[in-house]
Amino acid sequence: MKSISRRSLTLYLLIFLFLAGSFLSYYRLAVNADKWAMNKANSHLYTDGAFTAGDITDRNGTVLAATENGERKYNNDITVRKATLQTVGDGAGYIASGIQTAFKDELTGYTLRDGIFNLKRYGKGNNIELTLDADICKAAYRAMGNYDGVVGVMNYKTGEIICIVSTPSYDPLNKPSEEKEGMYLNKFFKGLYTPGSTFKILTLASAIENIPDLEDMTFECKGKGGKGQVQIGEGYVYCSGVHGKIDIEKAFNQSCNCAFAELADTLGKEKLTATAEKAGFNTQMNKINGKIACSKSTLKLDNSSALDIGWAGIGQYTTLVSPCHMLTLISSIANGGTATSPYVVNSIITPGGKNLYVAETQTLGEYFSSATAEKLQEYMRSNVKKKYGDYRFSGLQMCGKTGTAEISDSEDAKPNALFAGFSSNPDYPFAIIVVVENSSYSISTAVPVATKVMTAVKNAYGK
Amino acid sequence: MDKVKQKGKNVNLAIMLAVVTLFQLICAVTLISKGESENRMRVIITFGGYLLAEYAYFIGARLILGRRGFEVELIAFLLTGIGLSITASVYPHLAIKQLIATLIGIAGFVALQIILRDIDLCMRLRYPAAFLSVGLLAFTLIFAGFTNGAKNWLYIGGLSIQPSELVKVAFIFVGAATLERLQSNKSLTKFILFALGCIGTLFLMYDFGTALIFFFTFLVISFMRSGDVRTLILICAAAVLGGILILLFKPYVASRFASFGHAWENFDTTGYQQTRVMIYSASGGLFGVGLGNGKLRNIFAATEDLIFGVVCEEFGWIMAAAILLSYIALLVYSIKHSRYARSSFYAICACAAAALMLFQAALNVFGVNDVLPMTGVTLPFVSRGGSSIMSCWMLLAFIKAVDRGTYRYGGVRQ
Amino acid sequence: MAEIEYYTRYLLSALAIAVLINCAISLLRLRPKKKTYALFRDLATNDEYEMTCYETSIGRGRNTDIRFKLPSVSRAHAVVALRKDGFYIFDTDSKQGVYVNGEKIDKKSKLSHGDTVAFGMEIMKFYVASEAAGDIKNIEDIEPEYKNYVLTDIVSGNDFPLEGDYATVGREEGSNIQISAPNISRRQAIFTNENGNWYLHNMSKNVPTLLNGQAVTKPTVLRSGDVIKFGDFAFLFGEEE
Repeated sequence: MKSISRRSLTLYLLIFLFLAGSFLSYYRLAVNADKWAMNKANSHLYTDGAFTAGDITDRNGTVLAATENGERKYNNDITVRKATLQTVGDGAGYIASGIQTAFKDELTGYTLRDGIFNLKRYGKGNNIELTLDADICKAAYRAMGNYDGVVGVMNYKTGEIICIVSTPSYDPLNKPSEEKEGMYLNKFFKGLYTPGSTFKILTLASAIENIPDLEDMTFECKGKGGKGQVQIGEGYVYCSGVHGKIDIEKAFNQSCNCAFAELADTLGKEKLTATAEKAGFNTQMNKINGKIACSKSTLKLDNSSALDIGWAGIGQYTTLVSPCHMLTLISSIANGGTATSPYVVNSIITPGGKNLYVAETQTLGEYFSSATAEKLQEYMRSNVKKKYGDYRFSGLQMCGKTGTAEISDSEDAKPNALFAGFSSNPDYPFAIIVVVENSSYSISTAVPVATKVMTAVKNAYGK
Repeated sequence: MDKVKQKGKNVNLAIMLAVVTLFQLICAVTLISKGESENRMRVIITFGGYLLAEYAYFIGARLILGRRGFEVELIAFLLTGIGLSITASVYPHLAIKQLIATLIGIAGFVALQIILRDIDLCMRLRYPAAFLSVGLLAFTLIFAGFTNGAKNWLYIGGLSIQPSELVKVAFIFVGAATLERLQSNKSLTKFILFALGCIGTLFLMYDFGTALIFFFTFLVISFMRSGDVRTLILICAAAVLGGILILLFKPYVASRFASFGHAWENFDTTGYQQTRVMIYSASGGLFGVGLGNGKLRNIFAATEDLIFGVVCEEFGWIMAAAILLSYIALLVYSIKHSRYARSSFYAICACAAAALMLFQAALNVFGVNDVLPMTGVTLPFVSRGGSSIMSCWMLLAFIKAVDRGTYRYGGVRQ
Repeated sequence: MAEIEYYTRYLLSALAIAVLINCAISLLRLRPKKKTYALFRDLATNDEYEMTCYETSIGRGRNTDIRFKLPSVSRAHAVVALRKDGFYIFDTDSKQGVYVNGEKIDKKSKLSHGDTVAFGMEIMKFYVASEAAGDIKNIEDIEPEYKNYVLTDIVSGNDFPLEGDYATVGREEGSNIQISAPNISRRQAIFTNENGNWYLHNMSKNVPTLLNGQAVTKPTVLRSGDVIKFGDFAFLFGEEE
């Protein structure tokens, strides 16, 4: 009997293998559970292709998406639907960064403990309140007209994003059969643009920090046929006008390429890169609400020639910025140099009324020293006063910088127009980024959009 | 009387039985409250009959036979109850049929225990059992038609049975032997021939899952009998070679296993069942969505091959894990008791039966979770299916017999 | 309704876990206590071999429960099994056979308390652990009284009383009857007591043991007046006066 019982011990090997297989199965299940449960084939969540989930509201309680009687409904206003589409997301998951996709677990109330039972229990999942303001989004969407691009507005003190519009958009209730490029993309988070002259803010910041006699310097912008030029290294950087002898403030007001290319050349790649990296370039920003990743802004000058650095100093070359990061950067200037982490989900509330999550204001650290930030504020305020016109932003004490990004060498290509700015009136602590694709000069397209949106903000939040 | 002393404590039967009863009553009430009115009577009859059988068994064994250890039966009754609840919920019209099969299984469990009591009788019955098994399988092979791609179902007067399930019991019965028989005749030849007959016919029926289970059981029994690793390695090598030949000449067999490991890439084709099991298991969470609320039940073979997914979805992962643990416990118990069994016959029977169940559970659970290729075998005690539940209960008699406490006698001089 | 169901799920899981985990833990931990059912006592060496299983294999092979490393014992010699009505011994195709109380068995024989069992040259007493006796060590205390026999050296007239269950004869130190002569084997022969009857077993390969002139090849019962010869030494077997 001993021999037989001894032989039976080999069956422990079977038990071991069984345990190993069980652990593997359970491990895979635990790791992939939410992904698997959110699969489109799951008829708990998708009845006839429609997504059964909790409500999504804006900061004022306006319903942006909701489930009623097993059907997914969106806002009644078609413009609001289009304006908030990329942020709210579609039910089918085409828009990856949309709340309906990124916060699927929360919207369905899925938890590891109860599975999708909450959906059975309450008939729907958790509700999500966004920081967005549907009216501002609507105003921004209208302001964009037929242009493609991005508008983002955030409170630079708290980090709440009150407006995200990404165009082209479509009506989720009436999806067009023809797909337009970029309509599934939330360009505010996922877009990457050549910053153009808006990058001069960073060149200026680097100069303020590294060149003590900056304000005494003069720059020469001369040339023929209305185009200024300056020799940097082996080649030339061209300017949109001939500005003559100017100081730094004038150069910033006029967005003189010659002056800023020369500044960039003087600063060199190390100092310029150091300033940019301190302000969040070349690093992945924290995910928005821990879920939505934002594209990375990049400035790569490692193997660049002096001329390349000159072009980079005016926001051309290979430099790319994401609107979300640019808005954060502008907000940090408004906020005295400290960057605030932007967020779009304000709170997640169970159908029973319990708060599962409430977003809090978090800082991302110091993007600029407070002295530099103060200087930048002054120069940006001067831009609005002396160049863009304070009348466009009455009562907002607006500061800002425009940019016109050449994205192609071809003669016919239209540039992207950008505007980045903020209100220095403490009653309206909002910063704005506007990108208008394939437009013309920024003052004629991006600035009017900013005017309309900021006016709407002022009217909504005015005292 | 041979009083068996043991280390460790038996569970308290009264408390455990109360808990099992409560569990089953809650399942029954849930089904009654959710089900359509025409099905209520069916649920009441099913659970009433089942609880009655349960109590009859425990009271009889405790009061009349004076037994003390009931862990094995408690596990089996609970698992069968879970399976019965799911059957009654998904197919209310089949619940009573499943109950009758279960009752036959329990009766077989008791009857086999009585037969196993007399070891000389068992030894005499081995040859008839062997011939009957091969005969039954051969009969099935000749007269059965194809059902779901395999020729393993026999229809007799409206009843459908799966003979291979019942032969599982006979296979172990034939394979095991008392120590003096093992010692006087060490040759495995006869058993190998018998196994070849069984496994061969199963192959011809295209019932590969069951054939694999038989082959595994054959290895366990052979090893326990002889300890002859060399012969077994040779046999395994031959089996692998044979498997490769089959895959070469019958490529459609290989296509059955082709999607293994790539379930998600074959989402709506060969990986359909596996991915649905994973999706709905995930939906269940630790505690499940509740009996009757699942969606996996709408997928083909949900209550048989995919039952583990249904348990995960409706009862939760924790209960599913506890079910897996109970198969392990049965095998560990058999291994530990094999040294103290009344005969090597019982030791081999119990280890083979428990190992068979664990192996079958592995094929089922890992098959639907894409850890192993899907072979379409049932989960012992839980899956719906009359033949399956009967064979599981009879296999349980082997595990019961390994414990000396089951039969209270001894050859001790008074 | 959904609220009730919500908590029912937890309850169901808890109930199933309570049963399955409790039973599983019990099954994982349960183990019968080791118990000695019977034992063999080697008459020559007094070594004891306890039988703690219902079936015990005996032989020279490595996988046997009781192992005798003697050439006269087959690899798989015999099996002792406890069945419904008591102990049985099975001869598992051994070369030398199994003898119970001097009789060669055919395949299988019942085994009782106190039986003498011989596997080739190995001679054992078989004792059953009874619950009445409580402990095997005490079995001898309850042995019945029998007639006492004595061996008388024919040449010297010295008496050697035969006591207990057995007596050994040989050159070896510690033998009951020690014959210090070169032409006697270390272990020449053994006398065993089977319920009052004395048996003579030859243990020597080289030196013949003669009973009334006949060589002893298998255990043979002795009668009063028998003459036993170990080599050149002759003894008379008789009742004690």
